[in-house]
Amino acid sequence: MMRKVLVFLALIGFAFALLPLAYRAGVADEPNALATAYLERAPAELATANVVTAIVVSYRGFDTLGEVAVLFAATAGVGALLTKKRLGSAGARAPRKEATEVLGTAARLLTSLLALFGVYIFTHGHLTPGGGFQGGVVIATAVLLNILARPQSHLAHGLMTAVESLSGAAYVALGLLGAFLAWGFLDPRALPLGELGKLVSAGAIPLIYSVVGLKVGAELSGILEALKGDRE
Amino acid sequence: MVNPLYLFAASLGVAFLLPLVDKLGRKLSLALAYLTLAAWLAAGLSYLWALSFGGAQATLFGTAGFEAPLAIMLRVGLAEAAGLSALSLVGLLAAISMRNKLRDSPIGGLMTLLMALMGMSGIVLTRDLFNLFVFLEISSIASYGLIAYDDRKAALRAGFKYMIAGGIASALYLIGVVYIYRFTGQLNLDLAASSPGLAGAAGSAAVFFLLAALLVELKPFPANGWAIDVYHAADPGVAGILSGASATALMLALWKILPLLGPAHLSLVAGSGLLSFVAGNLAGARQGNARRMLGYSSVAQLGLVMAVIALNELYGLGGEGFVYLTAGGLLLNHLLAKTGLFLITEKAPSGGTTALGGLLALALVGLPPFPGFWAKWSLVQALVAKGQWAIIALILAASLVEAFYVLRWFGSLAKGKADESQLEPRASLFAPALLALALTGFGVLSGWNAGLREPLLWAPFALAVLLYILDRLSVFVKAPLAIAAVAAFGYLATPGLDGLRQFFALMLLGGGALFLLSAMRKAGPRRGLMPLLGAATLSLGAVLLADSALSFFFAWEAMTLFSYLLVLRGKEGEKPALSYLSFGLGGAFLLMLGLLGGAGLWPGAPAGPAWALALAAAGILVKLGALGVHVWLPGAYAEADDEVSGFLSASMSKAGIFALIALMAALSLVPAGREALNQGWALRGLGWLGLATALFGALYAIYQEDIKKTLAWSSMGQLGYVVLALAINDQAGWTTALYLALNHFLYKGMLFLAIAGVVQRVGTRNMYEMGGLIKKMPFSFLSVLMAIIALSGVPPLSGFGGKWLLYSSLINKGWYLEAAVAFFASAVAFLYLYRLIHSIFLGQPKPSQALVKEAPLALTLPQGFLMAILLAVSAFPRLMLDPIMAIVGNRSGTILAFEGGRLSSPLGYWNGTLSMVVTAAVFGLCFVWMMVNLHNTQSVKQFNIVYAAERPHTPATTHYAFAFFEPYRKALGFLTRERAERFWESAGGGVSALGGALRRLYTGNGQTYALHIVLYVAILYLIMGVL
Amino acid sequence: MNALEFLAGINPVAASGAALVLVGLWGVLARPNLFKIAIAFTVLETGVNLVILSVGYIRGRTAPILDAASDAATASARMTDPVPQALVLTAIVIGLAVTALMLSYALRLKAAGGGSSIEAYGEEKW
Repeated sequence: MMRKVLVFLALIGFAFALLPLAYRAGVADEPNALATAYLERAPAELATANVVTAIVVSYRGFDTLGEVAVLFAATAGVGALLTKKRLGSAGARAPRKEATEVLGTAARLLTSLLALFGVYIFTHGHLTPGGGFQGGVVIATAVLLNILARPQSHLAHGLMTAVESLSGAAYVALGLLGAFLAWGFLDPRALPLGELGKLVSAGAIPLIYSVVGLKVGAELSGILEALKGDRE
Repeated sequence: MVNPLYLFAASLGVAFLLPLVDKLGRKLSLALAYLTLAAWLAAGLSYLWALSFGGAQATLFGTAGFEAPLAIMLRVGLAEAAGLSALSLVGLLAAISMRNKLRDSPIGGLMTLLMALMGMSGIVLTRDLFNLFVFLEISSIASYGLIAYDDRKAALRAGFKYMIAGGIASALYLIGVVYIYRFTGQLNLDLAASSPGLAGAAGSAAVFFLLAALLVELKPFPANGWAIDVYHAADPGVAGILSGASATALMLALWKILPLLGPAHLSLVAGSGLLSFVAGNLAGARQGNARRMLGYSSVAQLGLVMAVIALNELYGLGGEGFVYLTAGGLLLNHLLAKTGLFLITEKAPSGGTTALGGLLALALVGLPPFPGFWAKWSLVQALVAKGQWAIIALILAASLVEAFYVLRWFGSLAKGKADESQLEPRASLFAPALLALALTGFGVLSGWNAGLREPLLWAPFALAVLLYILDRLSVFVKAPLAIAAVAAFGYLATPGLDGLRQFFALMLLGGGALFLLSAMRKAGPRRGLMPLLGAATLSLGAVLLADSALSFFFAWEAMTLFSYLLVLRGKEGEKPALSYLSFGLGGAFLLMLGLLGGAGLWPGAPAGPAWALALAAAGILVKLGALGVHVWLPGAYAEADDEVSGFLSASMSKAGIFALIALMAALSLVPAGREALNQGWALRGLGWLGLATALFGALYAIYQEDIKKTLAWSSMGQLGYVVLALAINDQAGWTTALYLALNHFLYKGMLFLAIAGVVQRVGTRNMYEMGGLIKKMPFSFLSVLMAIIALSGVPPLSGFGGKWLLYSSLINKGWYLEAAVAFFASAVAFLYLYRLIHSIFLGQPKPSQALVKEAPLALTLPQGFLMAILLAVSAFPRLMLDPIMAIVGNRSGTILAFEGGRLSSPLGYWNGTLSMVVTAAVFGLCFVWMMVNLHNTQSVKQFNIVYAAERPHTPATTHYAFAFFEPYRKALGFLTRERAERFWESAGGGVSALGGALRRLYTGNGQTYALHIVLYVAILYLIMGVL
Repeated sequence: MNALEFLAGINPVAASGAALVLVGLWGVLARPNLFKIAIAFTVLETGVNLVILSVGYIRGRTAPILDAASDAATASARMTDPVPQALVLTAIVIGLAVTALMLSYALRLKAAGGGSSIEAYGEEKW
């Protein structure tokens, strides 16, 4: 009871602290100077139609590199936590039920489509809504579908690891390319910028988003596989 | 300076490729990871070098080819470089000590380790608020993974709690950062701070959320249960990284966002930090588990650093340089010592573990020469200057509690006790050793920086190190070496000193040398004794040399430190050493406040205000063991090694006397002080304190069975006389005080040396288990006999002169009641002295002690030396009194004067030579008469005491010497009921109970911890509203 | 000021986000099941993400992506603030990482035989 009262009080207090922010901040009428600068400069400087992508991959690309590192660290942590050896008997439970016919068929049909869609999303991140993370997640859904459809099957673990490692290394290498050929680490202007709105444009951004997409796809698949609990 | 982005690239590249590299073998993976960490360390050090010596300026690095406000900026300044170096060092060393476990765990462990340290480095370097969030998350998410890497159940449990706390903190941070963006239109820290948008309630609330997130990550009381559980349960290497490296990074993050904070925010930080420091230490006082105790200490230390940073902003304590010196020094001290200590907890006790654990523990509690000492000094100095007494009292009291429990742990480690379940057989001492080395180096550097450049002041530490290196050698090699060092120190130091200091140098250094000599009474290396005794001797000398407040306090603390270790070295020394140190440090803190307030204890010093002198006097009286604060004394003197007891009593106690004299001299220089002296109530009070000490010291002494305890209480009483004499404060009083001090040095030295021999030969300290040793140990008997004659003040030895001087000065001053009580106390002293010589040397010898031999030469030699001096100064008092009276000079009129060999006072005169001659003649006559009349002496045979049909269970206690003065105890026992002991025990019990109540907050339930965090934030918000 | 004006001043996205934050926080504080705590955190994070987005929200404007309809010259007059959108992407991914780790911890703890209630994991205390 005491506890419930305290939780209630804590929530009231927290709400009280949030109040001035939700109210006083209100709704902006105009983008501020920084936002305007991004909106005006991104198409010109980076030939990127999607300004959010320009910010994510280039201007604040260091954040994104960090973001990849976060996901990577989480994957490493999950991988170390959930091995068959560590989970012991609880992990290797009795044979799982096979999926229904509907699920199996849908999985077969959709896997390649989903993968293709994922690739589409990350290669067009500089033009349309989307990008490496979104594409990676879509690819991971294909893996999830397959895990659900065939619980006994195993992912090609070695291949996943290789994809993850190499795409990560490629990201770093692209960043270094920026340092050597352009104006700094992660600068996408290392490659020709091309024409705004074309698939091959925006310098290294599509490449970066592609390796991010592959890496995220591999990592999320790895996490899903690990959560299944029977990874070696 | 190399662009730090390459380091991030290297860390990420290596981490990304590790799963592939690992296929080639774990050794390669480990090597690559260590290489990366080493590269970070090298970069950090190169920045540090470039910024401090290379003339480089703090540099901003853009990312992605753009600059702020468009892009994220990194900054390398002095603070960043130092933080980076420190955290990389700690990370690398912790990683090295984890290598066995990293080898056996999945590769994820190594990957998360790299990511965690990279994340922390990012926190240090970034100047972007949102990027700071990303790095906070990298480091915490990698830490969650790292905590689980070796798959301990306890670590998993704690890790989940950590994740809950981290999750709440990151939500807070995001809300804060996005509204700061809303109000300022910037994410760059410097641009946001200079934007006007943050003024007003909404901006303040936005900053509050950001601050609250960082505060929660910095583990404030009471929202820190999760952190303590993690320290408790995680692998020591991981705990070290979290407590050392991660805390450094977070503290720098807090430091970084300072420009955003308003006064209300700063008050929250300061208040919260102080509360954490106090509460963390109180809760730690009850903790038995080493790692959990270190956890409490960690949150406390972080609280202190946090408070210092905020207090500097609030009160303008001293600007940026001050923060580097104090907050930086405290943080550095904490991170190096704490990491080392966490790593030590998995080592089985051994000589090396003890030495390193001791070094790290002493550094942690802020003793010299480690960085924490200098930082605390500067901090308190600044706070005194601003008159922040409440804060000072809180900080010092909590520091004392921390010292108590940290050293309690060290004491048990030194005695070979350890929690078996925590040990790891493969652990190595490499990392802790390097950390201890770094601590020492930084400590010496900060001392040098603080202006302490006199090499002789550092000599104690140098000698300790030197002798420790040679510690395997026999004591017959080390003792002459140590004595030579003391002699060299004296040769270099004493010529520059004034008369008073030379006089004390004789007792402090000369005494030290004698006891060093006596340490050769046992063969073998006697590990630890020589380095500590030698260093303690030199630190006494350093006290005399001090020429500034800091150097005096430095030498004083060094003396406390070495003598604490000496007491701890005693066989049953664990508890007495702890109480010795608690009181020693408490006294030292009072002295520190006095010194910082302006009490000058060195030649030519300004005298300072009266309150400062009073504080200093209080501190010194603790060191002297005045009645009420004496409870440390009997245990420490009794349980130390026998020659150490003598050193403590004969020499070290004189350092306290010296300080008191220096203080009195200073007092008479200030008008306020002179006024107090002239009014007399202060001095009269001091006099009564000394008198009470003398009386009760003697009273307690008579009931002891333990011979060393008798001597310990007796020492306390004799010092009381010196204090009484000083309180008289005229020429006669000062002369008396110095005379009594030197006299005490002579006879207490002889007594302790003689008793050391007896205890060594007999193997017990209980007087009723000895008897009739006069025939076995005649030289020791003679030594004790002369000493007790000198002590009791019977002619012809110098004690008589002392008593004569004391009574003359007291009566001359008009303190008749004092004189009467002093006389009574002297009479009491007769009782224990009689018991001493009677029980040990006279009476029937014990059959078991039939083969006892005379004490070894190493003991009899110094005794003979002291005896010769005693005889000389007794026969020719001018040998001793001329220099003393020259030192005292003409203080408020001449009362005593020599006419030839006759010392006259207004009340009469005393001629030492004459009384020696008379006494010798009378004694000689009696002796001749006895020899002539002894015709038919009969020697009595030993016989058993047979009880009628009853056999006592403990025959020894039926000995007449057991409970010798029981009748007196029945009559006067109510006087000696150990009230002070009970008072301090209940005070300690109160602190402990408080800590016990506080730590009940930490229920172990992760959800309760989460509730604490949310409540903490809500309450903080309300308090901010009030501010 | 009447109630209507007050309501109009409130950012609707932020208000709903704040409500979700409170719901998530309640779950974290009051649901003992480890898995439910992890899910409560995703609710909390979603709320925070809404709050982030609310800051960039401008009534009647379009997403900051150039296409045939809007060129670079008119972008700043027709589009919303892109920065919070970039930030929220990072926040979402980080939230995902935390959720994944939390669930793994919960699984691992449960596999060690301690049950699903957080109350069972209070061995380290005092």
